[in-house]
Amino acid sequence: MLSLRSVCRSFREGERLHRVLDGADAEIRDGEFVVIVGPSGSGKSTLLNLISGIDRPDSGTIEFDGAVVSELAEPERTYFRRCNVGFVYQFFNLIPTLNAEENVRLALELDGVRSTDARQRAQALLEQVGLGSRAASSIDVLSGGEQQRVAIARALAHEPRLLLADEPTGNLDAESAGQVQDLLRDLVRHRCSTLILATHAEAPRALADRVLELKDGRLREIGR
Amino acid sequence: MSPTLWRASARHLLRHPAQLALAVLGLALGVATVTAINLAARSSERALRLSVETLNGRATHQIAGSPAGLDESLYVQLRTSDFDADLAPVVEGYAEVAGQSVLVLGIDVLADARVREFSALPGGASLEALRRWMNEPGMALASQPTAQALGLRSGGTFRVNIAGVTRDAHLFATIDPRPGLDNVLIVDIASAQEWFSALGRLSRIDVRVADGAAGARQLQGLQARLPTEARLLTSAEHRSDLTGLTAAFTTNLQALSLLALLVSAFLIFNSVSFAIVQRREVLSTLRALGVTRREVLALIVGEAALLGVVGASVGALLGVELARALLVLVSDTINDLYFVLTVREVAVEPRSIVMAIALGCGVAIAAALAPALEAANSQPNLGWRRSVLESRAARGATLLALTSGAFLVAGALLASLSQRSLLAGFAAMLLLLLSVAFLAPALLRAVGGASARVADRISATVRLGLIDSARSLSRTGVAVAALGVAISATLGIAVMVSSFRQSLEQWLTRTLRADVYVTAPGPGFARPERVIESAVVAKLLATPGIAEHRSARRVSVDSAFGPILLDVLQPASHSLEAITLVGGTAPEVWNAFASGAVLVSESFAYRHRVNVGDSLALRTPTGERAFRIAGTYREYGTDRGTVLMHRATYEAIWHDVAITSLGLYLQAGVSDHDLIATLRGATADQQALLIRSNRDLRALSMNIFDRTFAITRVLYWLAAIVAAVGLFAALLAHGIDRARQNALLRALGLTPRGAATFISAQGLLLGIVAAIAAIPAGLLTAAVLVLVINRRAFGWHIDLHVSGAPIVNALLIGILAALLASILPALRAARPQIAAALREE
Repeated sequence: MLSLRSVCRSFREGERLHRVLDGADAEIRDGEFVVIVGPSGSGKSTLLNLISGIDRPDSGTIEFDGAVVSELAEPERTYFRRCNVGFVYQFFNLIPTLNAEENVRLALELDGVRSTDARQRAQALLEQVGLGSRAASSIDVLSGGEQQRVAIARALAHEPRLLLADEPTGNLDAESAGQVQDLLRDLVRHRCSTLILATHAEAPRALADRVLELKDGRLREIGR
Repeated sequence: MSPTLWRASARHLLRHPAQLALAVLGLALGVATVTAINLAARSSERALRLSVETLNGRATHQIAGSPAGLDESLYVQLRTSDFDADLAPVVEGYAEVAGQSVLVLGIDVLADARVREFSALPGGASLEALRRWMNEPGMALASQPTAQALGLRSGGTFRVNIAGVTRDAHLFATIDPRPGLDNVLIVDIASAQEWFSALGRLSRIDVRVADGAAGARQLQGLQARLPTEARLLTSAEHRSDLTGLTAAFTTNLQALSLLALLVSAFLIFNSVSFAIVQRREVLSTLRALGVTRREVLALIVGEAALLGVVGASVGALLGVELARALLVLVSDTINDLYFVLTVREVAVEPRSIVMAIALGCGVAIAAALAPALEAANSQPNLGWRRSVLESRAARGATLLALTSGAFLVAGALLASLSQRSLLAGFAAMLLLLLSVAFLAPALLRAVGGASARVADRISATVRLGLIDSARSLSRTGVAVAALGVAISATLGIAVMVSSFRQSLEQWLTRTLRADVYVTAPGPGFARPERVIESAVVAKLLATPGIAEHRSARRVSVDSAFGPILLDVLQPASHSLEAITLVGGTAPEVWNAFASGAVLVSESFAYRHRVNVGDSLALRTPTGERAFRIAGTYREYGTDRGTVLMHRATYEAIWHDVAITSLGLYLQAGVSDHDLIATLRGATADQQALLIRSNRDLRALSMNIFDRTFAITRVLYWLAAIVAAVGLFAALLAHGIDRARQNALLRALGLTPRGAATFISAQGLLLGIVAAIAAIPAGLLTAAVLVLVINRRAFGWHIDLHVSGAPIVNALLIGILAALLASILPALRAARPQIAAALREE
């Protein structure tokens, strides 16, 4: 269970204080697929960063399965992320100096999986996302859709209980976007992971269990 | 840590080979400079140590005497008494053979075998060999390499020049090579006494006593038998007296060589910072994936350590080669200023190489630590925003500018408050150089912004380039800081050298008043054999056209401070006015001087903490005697310092009437050129003296000065080259980072020429800003070098002379380094693969 209670986060831009989150509350159950919608700049990425422990709220608490993430110090927040969170980004954020298989394997090795085992599991994951034959390919020769599938494989490699996807289809054409959405949903369902997908697109809403709108720094449930 | 993470890191480095190569090259040059100076200094030290050890042999002590040596009757008395230790009499001096300096060691071959192994005659002491060795004059032994270097063959005849007098010698045999025997000729003691005009005298007696209590008893017995003129010292004391002479010289060289390494540190800092900036997205992604701060730190520091190992190893190898070139300069300086030394090869000690590599790695890791910590402690999400980086760099620049002021004040306080500490002097200089580095980014921002406004009326491209540099402090800040440090260091050194040169020139103009100078030639400082023969002196002074003369003798005497240089002077009527007094007033000082008091040079007074009114204890043939110090005077001849004594005082005490040099004052209307020709003609058949006009002697002195500072100039240029490499690396890296923007500008219609102008304008801005920041700090560095470090290291006072030339040179170095460094990046910017660059994220 993921709980957000009165989460506030603001950023200073020169003299002006920009309140991005202003008392956001939410309860997300295990295995749930939640889509967070809102226009650009509404704070969706900030919210995902706070949930993953990349950033810390100014006030309020974020709790995941009894652990108060918002109160963890370094390096516990990193360990939390390493064990529990998978991330999928709009711009993929793959490591350009590693090939597809190595990008996936990296997440496993960070989680303590031995190199040979990690290699086999990475290969299997790439096959699951339909890229078994491109395992040795450099990142820069893959298409956008393929890169995002590698990113998904990487995000799920260490079997996280929480998958955070920040505009995962924002940089893809309609066909690739559809494939990625289906893949995400199927993999998450199959693994019983919680998926929180932030987007300003309409399409993913239909696939979600619930849709939360982020507006004026607060979350509220809206219809799909 | 994940092996895949290390693989990603290694691949990043290998994907940017030019950046990697420049960082390695920069560090390698810095390490090479330090290694080369260290090896050259150590090789000279080692050559001296080996020479002293070999020549001392198994001697544990030596009995030394006055400048004229010991009476040989002392040796006879000791041998015929019940004193039971091994004794070996020695007469030694320097000569020239085939244009090279050689040490002539005169020994008693029978007595010597108990002290020195090599002195035994080859083939055993057969009666025939002994007869020839002892009865035929001029018989000499030399090691095989020495014979080869001097062009001598066994059984052949050669000529030995001692203080301008030529003697015939025969190479009796060659002996096996052995360290320390380079350029040493071993002759029978009687031949040496004849050659050095030292009949009945000995240079020293080497003593070998037993170990332990028996040895102590022998020494006690020996002390009781020694006359007051003789002094017993251990072989170790003798060695440390010699090695101590060059300590200040080598310390200064090593400190200056560190400047190149300091500039290298900035280069590494720049490379690592840039590598982090280039990978900011990757590092943020890794942090988001669960890589801890400590792992990020380890990754970056690991890369720096690898860079350090490679760069330092290459640097150490380069350093060995560079040392071979610098060895000549170092040994020339030691020969010019300290003592005669033959160093043929660089002694590469594994310890020096390991130390150099460790130093290089340490510098690389230390330089990488700050950017690595910053990267590790950054919030993962913030790392993705370029604007955050630049606004952080801009805030940092302001903070650094404030720190720069604090460093400046701290440097000034350290220099003025630390009384005599040389280390504090160098620390003050380091603070000054760091103050330039810390000021440079803020200055770049300010000057870049201001010049962009001016350039707006001239060229939009230039304006864009200037703004881009000023707003990209995370890339350009360190490069301009490194160049600033290098320019201020080179400016400081240049002003120091020119100040010293001018002070020396002024001093020589004042001191050298005679029209013609006559000196006994030969290697070595204060060598007793450098004597103008008395018959020759008489002939010289009888030459028509000479109005009056002054004579001088330089010897080494023992004092409470160890062996010191004593300049003995018989002044001419006005020659004392030529001496610049810095302590004491003229009539009193010279009256006291004539009555037996001494003067000490500035360096001597500083080094030994003595002043006017103190007394100086010197060992004389009649025992230790105190001389009142009547004044202090300026003298740039040697940093050991000298003591000036009137000839009448010296002769009365030491009974030495020898003359080392004469200063001749000519009658009105006599041409120095003609007189020199006459003097040479009159003395050529007796002694080949060095006879020079006032003008020629001054020119020679300046040549020696320039030779002495040749090595400093080499260090100056090495530091400048490292800085240019750093700037080149920074501009290249900046170009790579800006490839997409350049391609975009080209796509929008910027011509290739415009793109090249864009990069050149940036380079020029960096060069000018570095020079602006460096010039005031360089002048302050010069002031610290001249007024603090030179004073503390050598004890002499130099006037600070600042002329326009070094400042213009500094400005030109900055601009030229920047323009040269811009060429390749500008060419790359002019011909980008537009489509490919635009496609790349």
